[in-house]
Amino acid sequence: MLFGLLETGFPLFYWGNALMIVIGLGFIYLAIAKKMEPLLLVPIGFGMILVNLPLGGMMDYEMKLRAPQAGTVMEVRMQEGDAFEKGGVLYKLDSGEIRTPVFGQVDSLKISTGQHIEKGQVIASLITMEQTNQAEYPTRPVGLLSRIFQFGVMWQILPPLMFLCLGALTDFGPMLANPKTLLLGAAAQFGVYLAFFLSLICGFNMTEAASIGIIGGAEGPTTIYVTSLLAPHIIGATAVACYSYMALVPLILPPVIRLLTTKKERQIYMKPSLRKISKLEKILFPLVTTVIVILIVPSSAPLMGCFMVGNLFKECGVTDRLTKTAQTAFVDMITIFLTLAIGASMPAQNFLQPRTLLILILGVVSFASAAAAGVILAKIMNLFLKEKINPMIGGAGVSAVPMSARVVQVMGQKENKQNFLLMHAMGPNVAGAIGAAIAGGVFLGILG
Amino acid sequence: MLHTYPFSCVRPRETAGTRFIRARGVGSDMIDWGLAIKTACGGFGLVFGILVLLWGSVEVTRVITDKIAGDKK
Repeated sequence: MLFGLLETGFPLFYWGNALMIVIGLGFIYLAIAKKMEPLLLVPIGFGMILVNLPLGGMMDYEMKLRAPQAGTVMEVRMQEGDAFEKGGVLYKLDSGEIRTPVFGQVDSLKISTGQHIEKGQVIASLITMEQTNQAEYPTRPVGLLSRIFQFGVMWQILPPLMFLCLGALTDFGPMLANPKTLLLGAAAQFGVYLAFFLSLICGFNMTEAASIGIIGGAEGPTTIYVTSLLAPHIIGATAVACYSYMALVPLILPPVIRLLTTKKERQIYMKPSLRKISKLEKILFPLVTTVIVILIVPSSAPLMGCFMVGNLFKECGVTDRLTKTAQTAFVDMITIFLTLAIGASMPAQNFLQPRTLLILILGVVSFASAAAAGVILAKIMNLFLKEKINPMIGGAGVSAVPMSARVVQVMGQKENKQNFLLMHAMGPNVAGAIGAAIAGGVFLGILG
Repeated sequence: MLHTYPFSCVRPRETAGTRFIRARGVGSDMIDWGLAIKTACGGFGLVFGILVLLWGSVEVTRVITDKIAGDKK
């Protein structure tokens, strides 16, 4: 207590909070000094700092703890205001112990020593920052960022709307000009399923493994959307892994591409001019894609539907105001809400677990194997194609649009100054975005 | 006040004990490996198949729009 007047955060501040603040500062440094995805890393980093300053309350949820069994209270082990870790003993009954299912702080105690309680009776009110299974342990958001997280992310509103904005920013022209690059985007989804399997082997359950695997789709909204439905308790780790690795694509992609290609292959020249795409084709593509994909995978409807309607706004030519809004103010608003909330979903108690490190490792494996699969398929396609494709563009199937394509362009220029691979790489890049949304929908359809 | 995690605190025994390289909670015998294989192989096949289908639809659309443009001329 400060001068006996107000409670400070110092007594609850521990090494975990300090480490998370350092990580948050690291993200902000990468964003400002190294210009790495600043629109994502600045708010994520700041959200991490905010949530690791104790008693700030920004990411608090209130949980009414109900008695799992009947009994008489023999001892009350905690007081109001006490902080506890997950599994801490709250009450000792004659019939056993009642432990806290989350980490957090005691807000109020509803019973006292000697009182008899029935199963299901509300026995305490807890404050926690942990994401819980709402069916088992319902919580109510009481902080600013917990409300944004609950009603924006957990209600699956912000990720599809972000995808709408991405659709409005995406040009499918290069892919339509060379539609075989759809295969390269498909091949890149191999990373998703490889990481899914590896996650199962590492001890994660099916829903967690799917949430980890989808990191390889390299689409932040897809990862957040799938994880919020399948494994919300690891959403912080998967989201930060996805967005971090998207920012680190210039570091992850080149070694993978160099390992799998020869110098001669990297120098394969691709003609710069692509087929001109008519306006009608560009209008029909989002409509046809929506119908085909959602009929086959209905659970992909929110993501695919929003992605394609955003693209239709852009291509139809008669909704300029909607397009401009989606490309500017709206996407910025969604980005602010989503990234602050994601950053704030990483309190130290949740994030600093061995499984978080596993998730980060599996995430990079997912990314790298996605790129590898795209490159390998491009090399296989070259066995059958008269006009060879530069296999590096297969690496752009990792759909961190447009960073992967830019990385391939830079690598292509280094190998052959005459080679302009950007538009060719955009084909698999945007195809990967479609593939990731479909992969997410498939996981939700099977496991949701 | 009960401070369970000041700077020098050790985690309580109840929550400790996770082996470093394995996530907590699921033994490999608890996973339905049949469903896992179906999910992975079927899922990847479905994604691939849908994108091939989209490739086909793009080509069909191109042919139709070229024909419409040709007829207009």
